[in-house]
Amino acid sequence: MAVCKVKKVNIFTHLELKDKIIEELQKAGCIQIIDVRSKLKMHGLLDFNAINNMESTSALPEVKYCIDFLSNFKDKPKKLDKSLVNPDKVYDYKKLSSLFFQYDYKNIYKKCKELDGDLKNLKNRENHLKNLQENLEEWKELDIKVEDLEGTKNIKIIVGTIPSKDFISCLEEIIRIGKEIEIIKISLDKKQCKIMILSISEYYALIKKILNKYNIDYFKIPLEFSKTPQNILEDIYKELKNIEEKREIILKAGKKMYRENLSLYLAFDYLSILKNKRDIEKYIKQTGKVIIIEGWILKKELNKLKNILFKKFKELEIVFSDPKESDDIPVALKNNKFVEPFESVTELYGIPKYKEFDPTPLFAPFYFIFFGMCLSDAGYGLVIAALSYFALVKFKFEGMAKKFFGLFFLGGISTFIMGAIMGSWMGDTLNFLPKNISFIKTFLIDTISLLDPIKNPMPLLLISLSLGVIQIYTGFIIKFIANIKKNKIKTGFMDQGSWLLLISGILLFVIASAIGSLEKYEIITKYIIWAGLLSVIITQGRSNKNIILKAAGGVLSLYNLIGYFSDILSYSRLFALGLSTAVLAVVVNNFVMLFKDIPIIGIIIAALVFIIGHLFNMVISGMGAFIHSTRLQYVEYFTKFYEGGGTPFKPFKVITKYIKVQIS
Amino acid sequence: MITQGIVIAFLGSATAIGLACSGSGIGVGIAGAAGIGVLTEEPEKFGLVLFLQAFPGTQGIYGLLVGFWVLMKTGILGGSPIPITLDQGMQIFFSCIPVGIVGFFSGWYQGKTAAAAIGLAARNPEGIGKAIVMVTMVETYAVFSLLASLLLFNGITL
Repeated sequence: MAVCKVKKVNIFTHLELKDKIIEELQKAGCIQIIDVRSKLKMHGLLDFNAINNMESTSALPEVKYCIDFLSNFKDKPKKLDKSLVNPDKVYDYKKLSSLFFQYDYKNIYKKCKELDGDLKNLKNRENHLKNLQENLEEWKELDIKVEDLEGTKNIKIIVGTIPSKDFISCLEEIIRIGKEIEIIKISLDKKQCKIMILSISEYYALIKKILNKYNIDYFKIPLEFSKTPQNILEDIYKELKNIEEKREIILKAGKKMYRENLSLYLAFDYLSILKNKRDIEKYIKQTGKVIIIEGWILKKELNKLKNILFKKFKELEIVFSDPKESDDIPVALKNNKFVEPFESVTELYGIPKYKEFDPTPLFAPFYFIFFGMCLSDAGYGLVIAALSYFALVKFKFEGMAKKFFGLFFLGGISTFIMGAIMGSWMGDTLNFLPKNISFIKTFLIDTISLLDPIKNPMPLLLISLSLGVIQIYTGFIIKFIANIKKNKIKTGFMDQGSWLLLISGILLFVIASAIGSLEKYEIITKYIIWAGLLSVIITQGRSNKNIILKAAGGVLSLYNLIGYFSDILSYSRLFALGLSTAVLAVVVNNFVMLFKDIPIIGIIIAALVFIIGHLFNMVISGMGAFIHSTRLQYVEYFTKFYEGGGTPFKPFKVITKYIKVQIS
Repeated sequence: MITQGIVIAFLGSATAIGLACSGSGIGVGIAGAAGIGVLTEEPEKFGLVLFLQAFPGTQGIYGLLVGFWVLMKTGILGGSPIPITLDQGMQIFFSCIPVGIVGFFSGWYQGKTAAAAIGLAARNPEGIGKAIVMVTMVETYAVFSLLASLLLFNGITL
């Protein structure tokens, strides 16, 4: 269906042309080059190892480092918008290299390294000083130069803190050691006591032993200084201030560099392009004189490739061939404008294998309806559609983001339609319109609206379940058709046909017995059920060898029936989520009405509550709508017919992160 | 006028909101703790982690929804409660039970699943689509309980 046809392409050419050809292929961006290194180890093929790419491999991390480092100096976002590389400016591919070589990134790198190193040194020094400061604050009273605390050969000095309650007993113990001890109390408060002990060196070990017993906390002498603690503190304070100033200077320099060196982005992208090219060169096999490029190409782009290559080069040969079954063929999807946004949902699940079909067009209509039913408010639908449309036009997304916003745009439209049908416009806001414009309400509610789930929820619940039945049926039928197309007609009838028969029988039976006038058909539906049961029991155990096991397998498979009915019941979430959006919106409006009657500020608060409340409901319910519509496809629908697990087609092309490049 | 029925209706509303919001609180907490773990390594995944953390939050909203619905229908929110008989009050209370109890447990366990999904987001961002489906499986039962509560409540004639 919408899986693009893929061809294998082999390009043969002279070795000298290699660089140029690869560049052209990158610019063309339509071919996925295959890594043949692991597949073929043919004799005579040389490994690619020609270009010395030392420079570019080291340059890329260096530029990246500069970008990361300088991004620390970003100004507030306001200024940034003006100074950043103009996102709308498109660079010409040909000029990239000359722009890059004009630009001395090595110098910038050196400067960045320097600034970074300086900043780190300052930080280290600062931490060190702050620790010292904290330590010394406690010893301000010590009026001795710290270098004198070291003691001499014969005299030892111990300075430290012990708990105050132990002070007396500790003192007594120390005095008992000998006479040549001098104890000086520096300070004493309720908790701690700071002491200094001078003694001859023979006693040193003994005293220490006692002090350790009393949990002494030694004073760590900052040997890099030679003043009293008080003076040292003053010095540290000055130095910290100095550090702060130095840092300011570095920050300023950094900011200046950040503003002036936006060409770094260009350099980064240019180098990435080069690196991509170098990486891909490794995939190519070559002999002494010839290179062979092997790759995948979409069938519709065959001519494009031929045109590009033959226009520029003469000495080459392009061979196209059909892919082999055994190959891991990459998959690209192609759908019309309406279906394309839904590809994002397929991609989240896993894209189809090459031989499979694309499920996107098969679930897109369901998804469209489901999303609208889950959100089901015309006002929210309009807002979401408008916002997504605005985002699509303004930001010109590519790839996945574009698809997602497209999905929300379509979802918004669907929500608008469903909301109008259910008569929900920002909840029941229409009820509060002034009298003179109440004709709007009359028109929207009485003429357009078909259902009112808040007053009478049953119809909507039945619609939800019916949609479930339709989708499950569709799933079975798709699988049935797929089997027939693959010439597995028997499998199709046995696996899908028997189940369709049984489920149809049960549903018809329910309908016939529920509606009085159809009672006479009830007996027919019973026959259908029996036929269905029989066919399921006969066919579903057929993979077993033994006849008894075959029958047992068939009976056991009836258990799946519960699964299918719970699948259908699962669609009641459409109703529940739709109703919950509507009810929450009504609740918000109720709150608004509570505030309305407060004089003067009442109107302002009411307006705020209205906006915030509805915004909140829209975001939460919108998220729910997206997730639950997605889940219904994945769990209830895809399981009937879809496998997925293909590898996406990733053409070798110019990829940039920061700047836009135009390839002429 | 405050009748016995109104008091029971209060109990119903409080059960729905209280239990379901507790469940969501636990769930969001579990998922958030896992999320912070991922963010310490990869702060750029904030958006994705927040998205996953929000999953167990829906139970609280469902509870709040039913709770407010009760308050509105009984006129408590408008300040002029309609006289409700004891039987009607009990009916209202029972209709609040599903969303309260299921909200509590499914919020809690969805939190655990969401935490695991966040762990996966850190290691293998491509698998996130499938992980979200796993997390949504838990959500199913919260939606069903909401459905049950709404249908039960809708069956009461006031």
